[in-house]
Amino acid sequence: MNSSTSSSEAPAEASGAAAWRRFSLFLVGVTLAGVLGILAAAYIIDPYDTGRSGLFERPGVRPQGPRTANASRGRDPAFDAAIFGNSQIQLLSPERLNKRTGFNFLQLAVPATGPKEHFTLVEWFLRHRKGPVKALVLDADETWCTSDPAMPNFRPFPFWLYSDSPLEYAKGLMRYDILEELPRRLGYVFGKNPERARPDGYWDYEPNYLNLGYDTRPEVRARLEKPYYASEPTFERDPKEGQRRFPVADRLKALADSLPPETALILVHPARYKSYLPPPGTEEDYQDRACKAAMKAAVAGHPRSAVVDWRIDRPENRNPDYFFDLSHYRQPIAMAIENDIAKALERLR
Amino acid sequence: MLFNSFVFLFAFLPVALLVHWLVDRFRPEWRLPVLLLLSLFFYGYWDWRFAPLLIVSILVNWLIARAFIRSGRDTLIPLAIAGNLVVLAIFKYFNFFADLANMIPGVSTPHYDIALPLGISFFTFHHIMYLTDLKAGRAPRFDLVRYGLYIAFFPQVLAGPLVRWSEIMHQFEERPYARPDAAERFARGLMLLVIGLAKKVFLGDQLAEYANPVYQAATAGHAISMGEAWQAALGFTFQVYFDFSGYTDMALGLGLLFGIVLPQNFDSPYRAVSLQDFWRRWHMTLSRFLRDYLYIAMGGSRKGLAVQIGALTATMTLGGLWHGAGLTYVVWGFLHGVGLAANTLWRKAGYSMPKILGWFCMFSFFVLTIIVFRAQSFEAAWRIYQAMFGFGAEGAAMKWRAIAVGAAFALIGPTAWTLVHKLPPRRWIALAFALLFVIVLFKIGDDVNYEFIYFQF
Repeated sequence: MNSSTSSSEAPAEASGAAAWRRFSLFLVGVTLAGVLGILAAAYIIDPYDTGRSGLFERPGVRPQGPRTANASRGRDPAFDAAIFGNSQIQLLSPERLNKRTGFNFLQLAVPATGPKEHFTLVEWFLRHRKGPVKALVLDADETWCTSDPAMPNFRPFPFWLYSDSPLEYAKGLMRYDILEELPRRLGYVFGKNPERARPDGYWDYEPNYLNLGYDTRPEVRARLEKPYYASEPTFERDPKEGQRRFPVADRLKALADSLPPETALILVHPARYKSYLPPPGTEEDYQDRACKAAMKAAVAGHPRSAVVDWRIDRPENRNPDYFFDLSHYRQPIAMAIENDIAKALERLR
Repeated sequence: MLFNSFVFLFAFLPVALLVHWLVDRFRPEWRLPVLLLLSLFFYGYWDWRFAPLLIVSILVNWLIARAFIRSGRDTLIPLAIAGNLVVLAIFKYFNFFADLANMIPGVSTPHYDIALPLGISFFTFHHIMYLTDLKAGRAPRFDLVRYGLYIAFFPQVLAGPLVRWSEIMHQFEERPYARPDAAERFARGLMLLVIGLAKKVFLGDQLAEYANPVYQAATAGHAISMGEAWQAALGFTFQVYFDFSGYTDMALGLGLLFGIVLPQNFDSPYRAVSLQDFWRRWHMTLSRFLRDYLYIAMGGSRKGLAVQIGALTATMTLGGLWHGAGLTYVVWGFLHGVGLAANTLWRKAGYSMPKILGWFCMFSFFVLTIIVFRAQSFEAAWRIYQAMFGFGAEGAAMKWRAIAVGAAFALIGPTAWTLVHKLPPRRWIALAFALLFVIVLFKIGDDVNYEFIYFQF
């Protein structure tokens, strides 16, 4: 690295050093100002309509994924009931449920999520209700059977967006997506007729699966018939009897205990194609049974609770025309599950 | 601690700079101990359980060096080098050698899945460089703080560059902020840090998204199309460059912020016109280490052509093994050894080659061999090769935009070091860097951030 050091060049050096000092200060200063300025603007503009700032409010958000869109949906006062889960329960239609129950359902399912995300959204939804909550429908799939109290999630999820802490939210705003989302939000707020994400969160995944040939391609159809647990050994007794722990059940119990008596709590074990159901005697079967029992016990204390179990061997789950893959069912099963939910709610009235 | 993390950029670095500046100004005699403590904290932040290994490694090597100086016993240094290599072997190569042993009928060696301490390859090589030079009478004695700082200095401890003691020790004695060019160094260090971060998050990570899924699919045994195979091959070719050269730019920039000039590691390697030229420009400090401490030790070019070819091939094969405990790395190194040997024979025969053809041969060779390096299994590499030459799944579509951008940056224009040292202290340049820094910081906040590739070595 070059540097001039002769004494005759001292004044030039001094002015050069001053120029470089100013350069560094300017670079660091503008960087800090830029970061803080953008964060402040993002907090005020509230790109995902979380309600933390009312300055640029307009109901709803532009069409986007449910991970971020659900912040706005979840605080929409129009809804008094909601569905939580992942793609396993995504196909349940709020409209159809509303017709059967008279409630106003919101679909808050987010693909590829687990219990940690589901409870985060439940809390977000409950925190933003002013009126009574009529029903919560929770999708208790296999991810709920984890023994890890941290309930690890496998895809990124914006927990910061749903955080109680303004600091955590502000920290979460520091991401590249925000730089893209801010102008979009302004376009949505000030646009004359902007396109809005569906307020009730419903998304019918059938067309997507059909486009990918999930109902016609023989090699894809063949996957349905391959037993998932074929090579698993069987046991006469549960080899881990009495040792199984389900931290999600504890979390569920805390939620059930916190709900007012008038709120119905419905737990749904979503449908599985027959090949994906663990054969009797396998460790997965014992695990499944213990998990379901723990979940049932967790909600039992709540006066208005019910369990809708479709993760069992039943005729519908043996019909390949009702499934795209082992865990993604089609509309006939979605409607049948809705029917069971509606009946359960009817019984709990 | 990752250089591309908020905890480093918003907490460790500002605190370290402030403490370092205060100490330099008011208690200059504490500067080196403070820098050493900061470096050990930086190293231990990732996993505190590895910090004792680094500390013990520094202490034991320093004590052996002291014992050697006092007693003059020649055996101490080879023993110390062997000990360093044994530690490296235990942590990095145990399972690799166990797998090799298990290939022998009747032998059954157990596996031990020990976590690999970050930077162990780098600090082991630093010890070896010093101890070898000490034995040869080229290196002086240093006190524990200076030696510790030489090994653990945080900008280079995790992934280099591989710094010779002679390149850095004299700089520890300076008052960095009393130098007339201190402000200039600091500013250029900042610019290098920003460029390095930008290379990593905008080019390296983007290219990882091109290459990783294809290599994963190949590893899982799925058929790869021709377009995907070329996307993976070229994607990783540029990813590894921007990932590692970005890290090096940051390391060099951070060094400058603390008044230390670290050695260059890249000099536009993808513009090389021969394989020999490539290795003079790529990971230059490792190439120098391999040349001076392995190739020359094996006889180099002094003992005839046959020895030279053998030494080249063996050196590069060991260089390959240094990159990772797997046969794919060994084969990659061996192929480069063979390539360099062919290069040497061609040159000695007096043949010449047009530069553009030389570049084409060098680049094609690098792209084709890096597949073995990245694939982690020969089956996966073979699947990619088959697909590249039209024997895979149907389809020629490939993602190419980030590759094109990466190629432009890698092939055209100066290195980051050269660019930064040409820029004058103009306000608009500071503004441009500040804006780039802001965008980079927001990019770092995204959910998907990739570790540096060279951390696993």
